[in-house]
Amino acid sequence: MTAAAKLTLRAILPILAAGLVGAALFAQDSEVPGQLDDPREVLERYRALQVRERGPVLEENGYYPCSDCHDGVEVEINPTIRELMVHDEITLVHGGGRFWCLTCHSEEDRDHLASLKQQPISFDEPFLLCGQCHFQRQRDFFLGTHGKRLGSWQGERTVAVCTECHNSHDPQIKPRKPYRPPQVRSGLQPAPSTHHERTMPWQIDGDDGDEETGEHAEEHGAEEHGAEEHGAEEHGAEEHGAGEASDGGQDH
Amino acid sequence: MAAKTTDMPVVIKGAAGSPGRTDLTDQALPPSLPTVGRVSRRDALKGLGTLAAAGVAAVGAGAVAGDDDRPTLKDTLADFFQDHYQKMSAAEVEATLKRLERKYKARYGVDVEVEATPPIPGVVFGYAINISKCKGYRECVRACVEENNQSRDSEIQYIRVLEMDKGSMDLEASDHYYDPETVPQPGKFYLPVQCHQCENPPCVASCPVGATWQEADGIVVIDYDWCIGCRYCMTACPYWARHFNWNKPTLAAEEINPKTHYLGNRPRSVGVTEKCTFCVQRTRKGRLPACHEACPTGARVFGNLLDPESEIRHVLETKTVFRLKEELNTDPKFWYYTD
Repeated sequence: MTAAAKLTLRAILPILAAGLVGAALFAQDSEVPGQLDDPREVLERYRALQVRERGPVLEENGYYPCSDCHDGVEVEINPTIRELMVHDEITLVHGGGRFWCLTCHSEEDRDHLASLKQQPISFDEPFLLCGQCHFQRQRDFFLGTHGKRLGSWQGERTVAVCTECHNSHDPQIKPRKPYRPPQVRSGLQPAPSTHHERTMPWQIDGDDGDEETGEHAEEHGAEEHGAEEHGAEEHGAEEHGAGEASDGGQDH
Repeated sequence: MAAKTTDMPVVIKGAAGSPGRTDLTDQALPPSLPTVGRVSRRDALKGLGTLAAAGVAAVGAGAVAGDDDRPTLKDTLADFFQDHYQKMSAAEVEATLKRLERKYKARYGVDVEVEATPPIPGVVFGYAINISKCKGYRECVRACVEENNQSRDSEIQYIRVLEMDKGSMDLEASDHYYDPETVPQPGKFYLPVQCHQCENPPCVASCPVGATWQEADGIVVIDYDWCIGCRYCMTACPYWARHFNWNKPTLAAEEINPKTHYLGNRPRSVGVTEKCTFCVQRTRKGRLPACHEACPTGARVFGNLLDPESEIRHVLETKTVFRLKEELNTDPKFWYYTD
């Protein structure tokens, strides 16, 4: 050993200590406050919820119980990430390419889902699985501000589970046609669509701002007395669909 | 010049319970009406009044419908003399409900059930909508109409979904006739508006006959049989929540919801105002309102504001909530929040 690099115990003690602390922090069963070892533990924090069983719906879709085929004999367990030859009607959009089937589905017991630590989660309680990443949504779900409540506003609460609304392989809710608009009252005409006017600076796209305001201001003036009706299709055509990203309401 | 009075002893009756005065002689009394036989005209008129009252009471109390289900004369008279809901005794309310059931059976051929479930003690209802989740599907509008027996011809809808431009809260610039191919449209958000059951309701203050009032559970209700159809309440409401039956309501027998409440969704007549009642026929029995059940996105939150564990309280305590037209001091019990 050279004089400059004397590895005495005193010298390496801080390094050892740091290493041990680091190891402790990254251990499997950690003492980090808020982190759960088992997703089921989150249920202790909130009111118990009744759910609707998913079994009948999954059976109707033709697959459940999955162990009919996935019993380890008929179909071998193959954890290699690959493109499957069966189940090809499922396109896994969730995760943007970072996930594959066994990320959520249990390798050993295909009749259950699996947590990140491979604990089995029933199809009736997918919120335990989804909540591992979508923890804010999960909290809202338990407290009633996310998801569909059924039944009663008092006493025992019944709730629809995540997969009743979200397709777990492609969870984002897609736009759909609304129920028809109300009929205009007899004797009235719908008011001219003054809502086309965009008065806030951030609503005016790029340099065409003035052009747009000018155009709308003109129309607004002409239609003040109900000369013309702005149809919904005209409104749709004026939207700058290409440049605009989906609004925040589209999140899953 | 004093008229000949009866020679029967005259007792001037005092207030209820007191024996009155017996010391006054005939001469001290003002001239009374001339007699008809042994009965004074005053007594005769009183007797007639009592007879009429008795007749009306007999008519109103438990009359049986005619064989051919047409309303009987008894029922028609009772209808005419029906008192304000808040002034009726429990027995009168019972009789009224039965009579209304007969009326609706005769009118629509459907066995309609009319109840008068009272408010649940310790409950004040509140409602919230998550505008991040509302996509403008209008499923709430459809479910409300199916539940509440509104007139189909004049298409009364208690819920109005406003399509608003993002970045503005100008309700006057909204569009509720939107009908694009898909919703939500980019750059828009959706505000469903229905009666907010204000704590300081301008409609209640404006009603000249007291046909609308706020119940103990916070719901503003209307006695449709007391409403005179002046529509002052419609003018007073800043949220366009009140709707008027300009025509005789058209309601097909197969579209009727037979479970009704006197103050809620029982079939109405022409010339009365109606509005959302937070589905009083459902919520007073612990069920969720129809709009809540119908919403596919789960944007609606309903519950008891007095229960600290309720979902609506959680929304008010943790989310960014706002109310419409806050500056008008109507104190609505309907909030909007975002994720």
